[in-house]
Amino acid sequence: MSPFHFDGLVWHWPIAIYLFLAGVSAGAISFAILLKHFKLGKDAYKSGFIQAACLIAPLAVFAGLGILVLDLTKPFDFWKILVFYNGTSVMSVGVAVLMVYQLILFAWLICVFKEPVLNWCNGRWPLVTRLLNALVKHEPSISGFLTIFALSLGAYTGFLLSALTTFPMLNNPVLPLLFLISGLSSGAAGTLLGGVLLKGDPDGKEVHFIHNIEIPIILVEMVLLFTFFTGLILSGGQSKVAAITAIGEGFWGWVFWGGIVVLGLSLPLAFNLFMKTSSKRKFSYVAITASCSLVGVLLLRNFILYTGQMTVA
Amino acid sequence: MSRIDKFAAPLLASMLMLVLGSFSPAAVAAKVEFKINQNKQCIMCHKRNGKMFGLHANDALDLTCQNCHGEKAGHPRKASELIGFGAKSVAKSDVQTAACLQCHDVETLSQADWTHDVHSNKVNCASCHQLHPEIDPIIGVTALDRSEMCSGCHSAK
Amino acid sequence: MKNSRRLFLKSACAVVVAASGYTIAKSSTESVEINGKKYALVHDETKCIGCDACSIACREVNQVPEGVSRLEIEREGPYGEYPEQYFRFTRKSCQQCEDSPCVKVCPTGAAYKDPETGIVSVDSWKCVGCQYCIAACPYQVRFINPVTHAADKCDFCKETRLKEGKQPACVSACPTQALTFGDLKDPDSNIVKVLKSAPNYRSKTELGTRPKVFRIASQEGDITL
Repeated sequence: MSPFHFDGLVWHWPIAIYLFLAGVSAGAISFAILLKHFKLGKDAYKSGFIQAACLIAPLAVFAGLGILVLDLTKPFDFWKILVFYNGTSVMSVGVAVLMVYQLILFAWLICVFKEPVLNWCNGRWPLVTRLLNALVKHEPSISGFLTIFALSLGAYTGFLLSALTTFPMLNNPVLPLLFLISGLSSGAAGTLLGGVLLKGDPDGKEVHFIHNIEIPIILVEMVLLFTFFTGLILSGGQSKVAAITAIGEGFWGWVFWGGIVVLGLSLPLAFNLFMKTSSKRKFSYVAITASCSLVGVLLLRNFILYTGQMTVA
Repeated sequence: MSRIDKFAAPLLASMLMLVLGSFSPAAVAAKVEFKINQNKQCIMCHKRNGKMFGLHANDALDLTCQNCHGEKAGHPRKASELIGFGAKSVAKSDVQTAACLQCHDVETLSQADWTHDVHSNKVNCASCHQLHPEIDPIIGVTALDRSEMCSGCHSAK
Repeated sequence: MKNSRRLFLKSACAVVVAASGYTIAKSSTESVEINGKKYALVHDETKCIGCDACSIACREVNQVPEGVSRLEIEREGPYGEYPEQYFRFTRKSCQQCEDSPCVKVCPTGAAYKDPETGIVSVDSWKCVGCQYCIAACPYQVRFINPVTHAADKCDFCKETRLKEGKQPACVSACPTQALTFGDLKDPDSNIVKVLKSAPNYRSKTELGTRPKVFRIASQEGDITL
């Protein structure tokens, strides 16, 4: 069985990239909200990390949607997904969540960058100023809703696959949680990497804050991954076959153990713990740790998507 | 398999010669008669219905009528071991298939087409194959014709 | 201010959870009202000879392009030793599930169950080609039609033969009458008689799909564990 071409394969890597990007967007914006709420307050927009997250979140979600549309067999008919809805379809609900998410995302971005925007307007357009001030009044609710929708988006990427009864490995209740948590960790990694690249302080309070959350997140991710496969193996039948095909010998076995468990989870965990205990945070440390996490999550998406479709119920 | 290999080389060579020969002006006049059709014993009477033009007639295979149809013995007046092929033949299907299975083995036939397995020695080979014409009509048969051949016999109506 | 905001957020969460829970609960108990027919098919594997007359007729009648197919007969075997060898033939086509995964996952409603006939169909205009239904079908019988670029599959010839008041192409083409088509809700129909006369099975019922293609199992061949 070739790792990228086999009978029954329906969805290819563009879907994995889309799932990854949606997760990164949701994760990055969640961390931006947390940073602003707990650490930075009004001056949040000055932080390189907030800037990075606020760039990553919309760009990732646009790129993801672009890939999704191009992957349709009728890309020019994509508007039909927006016009026709089906309440029982995870994809349909997900598209609705995505649309609302983008709206709230932009509302929140405007709130965060209120000051620079107002300065730039310089009182030239009083209407813009009035609208901005009206929007900012609702910032707490906007933040709240954005958190809810970001988490929904992160979980949706998992529900999209777990709704497929065809494939016992994907039709798994742990999958949405796993994708949500790994999406958050990829968002944190994206924020850190983007932040230090945008001249954020690698030893700043933002990095300390994110690292404090990242360590438990990686641990939870490991537990979820363990539960995911143990659950499949204990279910027996085709579920067991699916699990063994996925993490046993072969190309995807290497991706799982080398790329996901070691590179994507263990190394970042070790680096994070080292940075926490030694209190040494340099540009290179932060960037390498974040890159490992990002690659790990991207591999996880591809791994789950491909190996998930290898075994049919 | 080995049997086929043994025949394949001379067979291909003689086919090539035939093709090349047909281009040379000398050969055009007198069409080469296969050795099998020079078999006086049979062809004397069966000139019209006995000549072989198919693959099995090829000189390289060195087959004779008797290889498949059996020895003349008392034919046509007295008893003989001769067998005819086809549904009208008095020879039973397993006797007919046995003649073919002298050379063709079950395994290879199975690989060539699954229907050989299920018809085995119960249906005579001539129901689908004809060896006397230049090309066996079953070769390259369309999916539709093939399916209609099935329903020709298997019909509940 | 702070408390009311928390209360607001909490109630917002509760509303989201309740709404999604309601949709899921509704989808699992919902069944399309039954006033029309309930078309189904029986494939008697003991009569099937694997001649492919059905799939050839299907391709012609429904103009199915080469390279894809709505109906295939899968061959398993040979079992036994020469000259007593057998094959098993199974029909691979849309199972016309009552609880159809493809209909549930389709984001635009292009995959739908016709309330008149119970036939799972595709509205190729509405289909955007996300291929979610292809992935969701446990029987793996859906495909993208290379001509229309929409998802396609067997619809019991709803748009062709049934419209002319005829039986589906495969049923008429079968030389051994291994296929029986009819309305499950008509107690005098042939299909009900056939189903009551012989033990039958359906594929992957454990997934809760409630398929409407029934099979009468071939008794020949080896017993596999």
